[in-house]
Amino acid sequence: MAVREKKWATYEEFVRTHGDSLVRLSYVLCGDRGKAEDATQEALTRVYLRWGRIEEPLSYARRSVINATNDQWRRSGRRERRERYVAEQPPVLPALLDDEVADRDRLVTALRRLPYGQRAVIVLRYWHQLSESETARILGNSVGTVKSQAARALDRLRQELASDFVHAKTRSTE
Amino acid sequence: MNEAQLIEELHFALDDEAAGVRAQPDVAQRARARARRRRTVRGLLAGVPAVALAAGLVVAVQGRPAPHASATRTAGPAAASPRYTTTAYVTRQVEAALADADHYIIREQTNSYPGGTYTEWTDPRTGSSYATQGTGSSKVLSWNSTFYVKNVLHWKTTEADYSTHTWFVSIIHAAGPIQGAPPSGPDVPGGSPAQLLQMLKAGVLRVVGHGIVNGRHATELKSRQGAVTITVWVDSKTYQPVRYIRSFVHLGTLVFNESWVSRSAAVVNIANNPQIPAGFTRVPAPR
Repeated sequence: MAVREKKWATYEEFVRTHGDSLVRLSYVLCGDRGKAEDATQEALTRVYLRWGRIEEPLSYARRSVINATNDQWRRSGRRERRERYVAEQPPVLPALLDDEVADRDRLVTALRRLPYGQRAVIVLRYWHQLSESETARILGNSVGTVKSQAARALDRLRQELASDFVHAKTRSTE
Repeated sequence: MNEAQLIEELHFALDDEAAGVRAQPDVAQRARARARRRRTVRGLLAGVPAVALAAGLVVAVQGRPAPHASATRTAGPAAASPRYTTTAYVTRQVEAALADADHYIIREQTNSYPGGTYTEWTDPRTGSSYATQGTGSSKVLSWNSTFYVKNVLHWKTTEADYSTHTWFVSIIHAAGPIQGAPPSGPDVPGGSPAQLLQMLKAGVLRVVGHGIVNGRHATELKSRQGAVTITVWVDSKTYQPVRYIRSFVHLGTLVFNESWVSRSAAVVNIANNPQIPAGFTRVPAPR
C-alpha cells in the first residue's frame, strides 16, 4: 500500500508541475482546447500505466502528448479539418488589428498549416527550446531528420507569412 | 525577417496563443482512473479463452473503421469520454437534436426566481406547459396554453394556489389578429429550441469548454452581446441542452437546468391537462 501511495504522490506531483505545459503543448499543435485536454489526459494515462518504469517521465509524457494529439487529429473527420482550416484563415481585415497581434495570429495560423511532424519539431525546438538531440529522442527521429524538418518548416513559415502579407495588402486596398 | 527574428516571434506567438490554457485540476485523478479501468479491462481480456477473444476482436474490428482499434479501446473508458470538437461540428449536432425536440417533454428548473424553486414541463408539440413554484403552503401550480380564434392569439392560464386552496382559469387575448407568421414552437423560460436554433444559425454561440453538468459530460457554448452573456451547456453525447445561464451585467444571473424527458402518456398529461388538487375551490380569475 505504501508503494502505491508513493507512486501516486510522485505522479501527482509530476502532473501538478508539468500538466499545464503538457496541455499547452497539445493545444498549440491542434488549436482545439477540448481536444488538447483529452489528448493530455490520454497521454497522462499512458504515463501512469508506466510510472516508475520510465527513465525520463517528462520526455515520455511529451512524446505521449504529441502522439495522442496526432491521434485526435487523424480521428477528426476530413470535413471538420476543412472547416477548421477555413476558420483559421488570416483575418480579412488584419489592418483593424494591432499589427503585432495580427502578425502573431498569422504566424500561429501558418504553423498549424504545417505537416504535423514539422509542427511538432518547431514547437519542441523553438518554443520548448529543446536541443536537436532531445527533440529527436522525443519524436523518435534522427537528429538529421529534426534538422531538415526544422529548416523546411521555417522556410515554409517564411513563405506563408510573405504570402499572407501580400493577401492582406491586397484586401486592405480593395 | 531573418531566422533569429522568426524564431523569436514564434516563441512569443506561441506564448500568447497558449496563455490561459491550463490542465484541469483533476486531470491526474482522471488519468489514474482511466488507467485503472484500462488495466482492469486488459486483465479481464487476458482471462478470456483465445477463441472468444478472436471472435470479439472480429466484431470490434468490423464495427470500427480503424484496423488497429483494439477490443480494449472499444470497451475502455475512451468510448465513454466526451467528444471535443469544433463549434461548427457542435452546432450541427445541436441543430439535429433540436429538430427532434417534438419527441420529448422539456423539463426546466430554476432557483433564480423569487418564490422558491420553479419547475416547468413544456410540450413542444402543443406549446402547453405546467409549472410549479414554491413548496408547502406557498406552492403555486399553473398550466399555460395558447390558441387562436379567428387569427387572434389567446392565452389560457389555469392556476392553483396552496395558500388559499383556490384555483381559477384566466383567458386573455391579443388586441387584434396576429400580424405576420405566428411564433414557432413553445416559450421556455431559459431558452426555447427555436431561440437556441436562431442563435446557432446566427453563429453567435462559440464552443468555449466542457465539464460535468447535472452528472453529464457537457459542452459549453457562449455568446456575449452587449450587457448579456448567454451560456448554453449541451450534453456531449445527445447534444440536448442541459443548462442555460443568462448573465446580465447589472441584473445578476439566471440559471435554468434542463432535461428532455421521453414522451409518455403520463408526462404528456402533466404538461397539457390541468389537474386541480382535491378540495380546492374555484374562484373568478383576478383582473
